[in-house]
Order: sequence, then C-alpha cells, then structure tokens
Amino acid sequence: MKEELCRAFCNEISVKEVPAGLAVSTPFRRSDGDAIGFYVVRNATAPGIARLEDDGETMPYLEACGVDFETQTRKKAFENLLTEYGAEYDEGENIIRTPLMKDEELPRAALRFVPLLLRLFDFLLLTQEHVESTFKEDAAKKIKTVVGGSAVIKENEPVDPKLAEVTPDMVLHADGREPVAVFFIQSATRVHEAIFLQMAALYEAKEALSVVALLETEGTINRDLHRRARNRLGLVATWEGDQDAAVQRIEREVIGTEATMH
Amino acid sequence: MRLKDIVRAPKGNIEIGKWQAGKVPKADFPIARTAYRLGNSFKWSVITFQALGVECRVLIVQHEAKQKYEAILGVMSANGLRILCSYEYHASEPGWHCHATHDDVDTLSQGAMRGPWIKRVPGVRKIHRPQKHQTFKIGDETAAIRFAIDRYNIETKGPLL
Repeated sequence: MKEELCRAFCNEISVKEVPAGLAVSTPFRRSDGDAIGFYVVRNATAPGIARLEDDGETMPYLEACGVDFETQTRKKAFENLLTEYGAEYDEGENIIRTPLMKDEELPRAALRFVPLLLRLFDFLLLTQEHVESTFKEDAAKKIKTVVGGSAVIKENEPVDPKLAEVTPDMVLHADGREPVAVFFIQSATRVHEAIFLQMAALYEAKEALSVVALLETEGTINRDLHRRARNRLGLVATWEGDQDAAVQRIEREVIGTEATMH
Repeated sequence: MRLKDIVRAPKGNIEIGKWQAGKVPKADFPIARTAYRLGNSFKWSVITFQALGVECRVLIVQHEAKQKYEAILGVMSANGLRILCSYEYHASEPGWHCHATHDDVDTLSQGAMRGPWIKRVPGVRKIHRPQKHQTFKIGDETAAIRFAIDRYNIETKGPLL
C-alpha cells in the first residue's frame, strides 16, 4: 500500500529545466484546472544552495480574480499562512518563497510549500462574498473611501443616546445634512432592526434620520420584507454585482445629489 | 457577441504597445482593482484593437527565466474589462492550453480574470499537443506578439486582388 501511495504521488510530478532552475509540477490542481507548481531557484553565487518560489503570479492572479488583500482579515490570514509554512513574501517582486537552504533540505521544504500554495488559492472562495465578515468589511471600506472626505463616520455606535436601542453598522453625518444610518444586511432580523430604528427616529425621538439597508444580495431577504423595507427606509441598495453604484447611491443619500456633482 | 465572433471579426485601429516590465497599470489593462501587480521579471505588452464596434485588448505576459507566457483577451466595457480567453504556456504544465468562455460578453463579470464560466482547453488530464503551438522561444518579444496576433486573428484584411 505504501508503495502504491508513493507511486500515486510521484507519477504525476514532473520536473523541467528552465533558465531560473527547475520547474516542478505537482498532482494538485487549482480551481481553473492548472497544476499547482513551483520553481527551484538556484543561488547564483553559492552552489548547493537554492530556494523554492512560486511563479510570481499567485498574488496578482488572486487579486485579478477579486481577492482584496488590503482588507485586514485577508491580510492577516495571508501573513498567518506564510508564518505557518515558514515562507516569505517579496513584495517588490510579488514572489512567495522559502528562505535559501541546502539542496538536501529542498524535498522536505517542498512538502510544506505546496500546501501553502493550495491554501492561498482557497482565498478564491472568499470572492463569492459568502463570508459575513468580508462583505461587511469590503462594504465599509468602500463607503469610507467614497464618503470619508465629506462626512463624519462612526462605526458600530448608536446614532445618539435617544436612539440607542439599535446599533447600525455605520453612521454617516455630513455638514448641514441629516445623519444616515447604514445597516449591512445578511439576514431578515437586521432589516427589522433597521425599520425599527427608522420608525423610532421619526415617531419617538422625532429626529431627522435616513436609514439605509445595504443588502448583500438580492436574495438576502424575501419579497415581502423587501417591500416593507423599501416603503419605510430612506434607501434600500444591493451590494452584489453593482457595488460601485450601491455606494454612489449611499453617497448621494449622505451628501446630497447636488454635492456629488461638484 | 462571443469569443468566436471577436476572433472571426474584421479588426481595426490595431495598436501594439511597447514592451514594459513590472506592474501593468489599470489604464492599460483594467483587470484588478488597482494595477495587475507583476514583478519586474515579467515583461508585458498590450495590443488594442476594435472589433464588432467594441474595444478589445490583449495583454501579453512573458517570464523568460521561468518560461511562462500568457496572451489574455478582454473586451472593454463602460466600467472595466471582461475576459474572454487566455492562451498560456507554463513550464509546470504539459503544454499550451487556454482558459476561455463561450458565453456572451454581456453576461460576463467585469474585472475578473477567472470564474466558473471560464473553462480550460484541453481539459485537466486530457492530451496536450506540445508541438502544436510552441513554435517560438519564450522571451522572444517579436514572436510573442506574433503568436497573440495569430491566435486572435488580429490583422486588418486587405481587399482581394
């Protein structure tokens, strides 16, 4: 059995000489069908010393598939993976690599380097925006980028003491405009809270407040709740598939249509 | 409008950009949120052309030391680029292959290099024909551009004599 297992792993490994050193292909595949591969790059000045590198396109490729490594969650996850597998990231060249080592240490290092690459490609799963923290994080980041210069922004704080019963995800307040409370919606419960806050502002606190529900997807809530939200809230916008327009619509809500035109 | 329509269509306003190294600015090929952050060991050039009333761009990427080549075809739209096909060679693959979609351009996501709509040809573990396309040395800039022109049929057609 051991021999058969070894054959299964080894038969699909191929090694080719390239100017940089050796190109190694493994039996493992990315979601687009290409093999996970790596390079053995020789140290030009020290014979018998080399390092393992990716092809230099892992990070650009992931970013071009929609993975945003500037968010704290992903940045930290990336750094943790590098640490866990003893690898380094050359930011200038965008290369993921191991430290230099003796030739005889390379095979064992390869067994750690390949799973690292496999796990990095799992970041593609996050581009589906199925993970709660990344939707909220991405939406908050984009709103801050677009509206940050024109409004005071509070995160995870009540609008004011009179409206402390429900906490929105963000409160955006531009000079001379009514505040805007934004809820990042991934469940019906949060929509009910948004409607409650809007009603409380209008009829209990009697304060001017626009409550915005930013839905992660059109299907996040059912049609009846969608209708109730549209008829009661200041704005209902959808993130998935139209992120820029959704944030621009929130911007108009915060600073006014006229201001966005200047 | 699909990939095959773009490839078969007459082309116009063909411009071949200079070879450059490192990051591909968003203005040249808007595939990522910022630049396509290649390292300085990668060389790239962009071919732009018009076909069927739309602007198309092909990003050609080479890494001589690691023997990598890509010719990525995209169609410009109001908010970005929609990728239709990428012809590729990597030393770690059995041979030339492409990642392509036959879906209509209007249905594709903008600014996404890959997605479930893009399929690999030949399929995983299917026979590759290394002798079919590898007719140039990766690193040869003129041949790299010629290859992309041939694959995507980027040539103005003159009148028949």
